[in-house]
Amino acid sequence: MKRGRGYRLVLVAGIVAVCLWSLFPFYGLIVTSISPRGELPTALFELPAHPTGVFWYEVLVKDPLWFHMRNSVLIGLLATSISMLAAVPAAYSISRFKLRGKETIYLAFLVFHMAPWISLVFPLFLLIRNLGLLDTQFGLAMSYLPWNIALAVWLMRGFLDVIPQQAEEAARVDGASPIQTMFRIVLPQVLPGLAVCSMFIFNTNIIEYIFALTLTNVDAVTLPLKLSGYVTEHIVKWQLVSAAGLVSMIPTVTVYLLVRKYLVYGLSFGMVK
Amino acid sequence: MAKIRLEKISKHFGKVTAVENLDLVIKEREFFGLLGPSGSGKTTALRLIAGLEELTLGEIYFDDEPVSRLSPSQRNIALVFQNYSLYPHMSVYNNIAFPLRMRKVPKPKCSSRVDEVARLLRIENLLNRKPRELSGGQQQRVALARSLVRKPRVFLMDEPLSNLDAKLRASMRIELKTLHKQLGITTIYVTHDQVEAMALCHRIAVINEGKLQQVAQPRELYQRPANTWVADFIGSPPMNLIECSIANEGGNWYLRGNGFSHQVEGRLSGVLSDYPGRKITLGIRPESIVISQEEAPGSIKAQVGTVEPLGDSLVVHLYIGKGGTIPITVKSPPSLTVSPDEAVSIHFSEDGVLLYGKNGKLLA
Repeated sequence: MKRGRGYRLVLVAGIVAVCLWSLFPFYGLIVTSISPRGELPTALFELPAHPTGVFWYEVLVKDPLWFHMRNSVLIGLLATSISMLAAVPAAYSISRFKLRGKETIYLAFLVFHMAPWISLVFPLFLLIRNLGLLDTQFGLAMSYLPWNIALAVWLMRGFLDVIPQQAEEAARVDGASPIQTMFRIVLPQVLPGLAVCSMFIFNTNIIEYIFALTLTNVDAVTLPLKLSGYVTEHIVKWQLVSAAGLVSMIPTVTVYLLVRKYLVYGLSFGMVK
Repeated sequence: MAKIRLEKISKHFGKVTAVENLDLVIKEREFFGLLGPSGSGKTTALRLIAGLEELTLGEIYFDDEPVSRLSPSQRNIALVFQNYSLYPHMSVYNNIAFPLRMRKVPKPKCSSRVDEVARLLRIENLLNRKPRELSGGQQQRVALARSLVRKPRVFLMDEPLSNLDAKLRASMRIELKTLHKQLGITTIYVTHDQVEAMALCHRIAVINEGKLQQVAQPRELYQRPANTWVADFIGSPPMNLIECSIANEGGNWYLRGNGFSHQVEGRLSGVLSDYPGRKITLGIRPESIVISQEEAPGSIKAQVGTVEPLGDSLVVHLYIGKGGTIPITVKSPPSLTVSPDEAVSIHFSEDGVLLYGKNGKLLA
């Protein structure tokens, strides 16, 4: 069926509208971050009359975010790698082996994943404090594991279920152990899944606020906490929040660029045949 | 190279019996076929031999050594799967080298072995490609190369040609046979395609519903099927099986159906005189029946139904008996001219007649 000019016009207008809607917050952040004190834009597309770089100077040089970014990234990497190391073999077992009650275990992961984070804060606080891990990067990373692992088991099982199993039987005949089979035959086939899953967990962890607020104090303070510090009792330093917000996107964007190759395929996994 | 002995092996999946009490001996260097319709248990039997499934009962011996407790790799078997099961993320070279790497074969030896089998299967120019860049036939060769590379004791093939098109299948068949002749590895070949089994195998075991029906060489399997099930399964078009009653008149033996009669002579009359029952099944291959336009003594009147001119032969579907109730299929030379609804006579050639008892077992 050949579609007319009108159809194309509506389509393009729609795409432009969605793009504008999605990009506007970034525009807002940029404009706000260069507005002088007391001159925040009030209208939608108002540009600051006297743009300034003092707030960028503050978040990059004077009171830099690097310390907190390092904390965030470290915690994110730690939590993601430990979670994946635990969750991938678990998902593989659930996907491949005959285990009594494995569907119940799987369901338990799912249900756990749905538990509101706030309900976990207090028990986790007690646990982390008793382990002497309060205000450490490791302690905060550990507190993310329950949610991370539940999510990763759930996602990875989906990816593992759809790859054909005969290659694994061939590997068994060829003399590979179950561990070798997993690492050399199965995981290379689900690289897109691993990429999507790791990226999702990493991003969720580095922007997490409630656990970070409860479990850290000075040494392990992360970016979101630092940003919330700009909201003071008397004044909200919107320019600093905006500039710091833009800076704190760096890790996420970096990770995205690193795994971009696998992303499109991974996100559409199982939908295209 | 090994002799394989299956001793009363059974496999149950819950309440389902996939393989029941299977007894087989496969000789060294033999090309042995497991033939049966889908769901007959032939693939399960192969997977039991490979060690991918655990036996419920019985024991498997390779050269008199029990192997049922050994893992697939310890049994040193090679398995070629129906869908090839190549490792999709590895190059052809790495696919073929994988079994050697798992056995920690040193690199130089590994690469010379890979080159050797690649040359044998004429895939040297494909070594750097990924499986998805290969045609079906090429993938099949890679799968064969991967299984040959570590010199297995036993070669197991699970319908290896069924994913190829008809022409390629025929040429791969010849290649498999040549390969077996060159290497002499004991081979078990699972297929549902009787032509493939007949063309390739020294001996064939026919399996139905997990039970062994007959083990025989292709020729015997075709000429003397052990029971009515095998008689019906082997051959295309299948054997005519006609229910008859036995009669003796004036010292001559007759097989009679509803409105037809066939006089039995020679060796078969001896069988009939010893046979206790009154009902018997007459089996005759379509090519053992002769159609003629003229009536002769001892011939049976028939009415032509449909005619299929196949080029090299003419398959004629006829009806005999009172009211034309008994269908008969005849394979004639292509020179014969008959037309639908024509009245003809048919004659059973005495050598082609087989008799099956009440339990369906071959009597003679």
